[in-house]
Amino acid sequence: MSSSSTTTTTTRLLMLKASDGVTFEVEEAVATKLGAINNMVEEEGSEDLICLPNVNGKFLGMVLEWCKKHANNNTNSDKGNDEVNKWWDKEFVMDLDQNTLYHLLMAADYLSGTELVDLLTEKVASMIRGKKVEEIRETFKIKSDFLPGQEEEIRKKNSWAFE
Amino acid sequence: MDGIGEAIFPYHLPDELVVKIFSLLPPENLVQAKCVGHSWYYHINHLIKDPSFIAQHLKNSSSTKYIVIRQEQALSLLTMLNNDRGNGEIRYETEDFSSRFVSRERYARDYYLRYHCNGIFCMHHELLRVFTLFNPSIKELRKLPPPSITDCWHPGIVGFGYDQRTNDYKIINIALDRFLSSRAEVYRMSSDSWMEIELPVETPCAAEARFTAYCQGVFYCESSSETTNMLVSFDMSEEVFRTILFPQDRLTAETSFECVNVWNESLTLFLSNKDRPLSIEMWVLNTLDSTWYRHLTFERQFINVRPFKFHTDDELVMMSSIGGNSDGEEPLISYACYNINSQRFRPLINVEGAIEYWDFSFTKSLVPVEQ
Repeated sequence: MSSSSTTTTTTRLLMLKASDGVTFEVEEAVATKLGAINNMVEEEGSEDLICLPNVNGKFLGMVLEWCKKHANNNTNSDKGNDEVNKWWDKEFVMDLDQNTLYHLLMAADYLSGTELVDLLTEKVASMIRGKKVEEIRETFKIKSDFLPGQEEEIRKKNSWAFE
Repeated sequence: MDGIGEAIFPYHLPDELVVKIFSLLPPENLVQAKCVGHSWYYHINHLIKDPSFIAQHLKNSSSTKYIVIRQEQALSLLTMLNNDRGNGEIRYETEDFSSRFVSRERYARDYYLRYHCNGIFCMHHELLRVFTLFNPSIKELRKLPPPSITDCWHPGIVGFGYDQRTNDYKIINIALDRFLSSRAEVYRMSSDSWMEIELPVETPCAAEARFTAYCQGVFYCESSSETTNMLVSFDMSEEVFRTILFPQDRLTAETSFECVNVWNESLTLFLSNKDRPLSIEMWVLNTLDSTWYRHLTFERQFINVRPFKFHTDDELVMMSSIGGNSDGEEPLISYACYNINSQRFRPLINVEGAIEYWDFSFTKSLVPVEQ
């Protein structure tokens, strides 16, 4: 055991295997930020290799990158770290394209990474918040499927919300 | 997995994630988004009537706090905006919702906002002597039956809150009758009726926003007598009045009351001392044993700058009022912000045209008021 380590606990390493066979070696403290992995570790105890058939390597890697940052920054928790996490989260979601955002959100949800799900759902919400109907359609590439006149009727009924 | 990019949001996501995303949006935004397409229309229409979604939405929206302001011809919600430039400048945004009220209520202009809770305004019309509940975010309005104290001369103190135990909204009205004695009555939304209740404590006959607060199902009002400084509280569930004395050594007239407030979901009291009027103490109530602890003390720059309400858990809005007199001249009111952690002030701003202010804890909600 390293004598310079400030903690006395040994860090256990877990091997996570994605659907496309890519594997990641991560510290237990990092991987257990994900509820699903935490459960598996508690249930199966000694198993060091965990297969995750619903997530591919690219997105598992991103999820773990997020976990690593948050596990590190949480070790000595104070107000300053909170700020660092917030800033880092902002960077993390800033330039995500929709495809990546979608898969990342699915992966975070599957792995029960509650905080990451919160971050990503907020990102999606921010793409709708304060936007006009046409802007929402454009953002998500949605074509209106109303019959002629239907949309006007809904708008008329709810005109106050559009003022 | 080809074809992603073609409307992947929100409908390729599991239902609970879509619900979560929708619960993060302002009510008007949700109503507008019904026009995006069929699936959006049906989904949102269903959600905004679903009690568990309404509760989830309320929980999320309570992080955005608004101040309610009355302008010459308008009722508006004001938000302090995040300061991305970090230069300390206060920026704000207002949205006028008066047309929503006017279109629902003929005598809208003569209504006064008396209190609010969970996105619902409790409005009162002085001449007609009626109360109205109004949720501006979904444009729902309920006219209440006439109060039970019929010879009420003036509704002095009005509190409005939520009884979690019975899932009911209630108004507490402490009114002066024509013999100038204080009487109390409660309105319960579930039964849509008023009932007079016993008022065992002495209360003041009127209160402006800084004298009252609503916290965790309890309404509080500053109620100091000539000899003792105290608050009177009304528990919305138990429907019981209690008195809460100020902290020890702050019970006499040496202590000046600044405002009562909510911080971190606790009741908070701001006090100063007549000898050291610039120095302000912040006291927090421990509800378990009704004791106070002093959280901090800070110095204000000017005597006329008073603590007002928190708009975040870090930042206290201070309000300064200059001028104004009994001839009806409105005072000039401006705001400054004080960060209780960094202990920094942000400078004063004026809000154009504002003539009356309510507190900062208004949140937009989908809570229905119509029967």
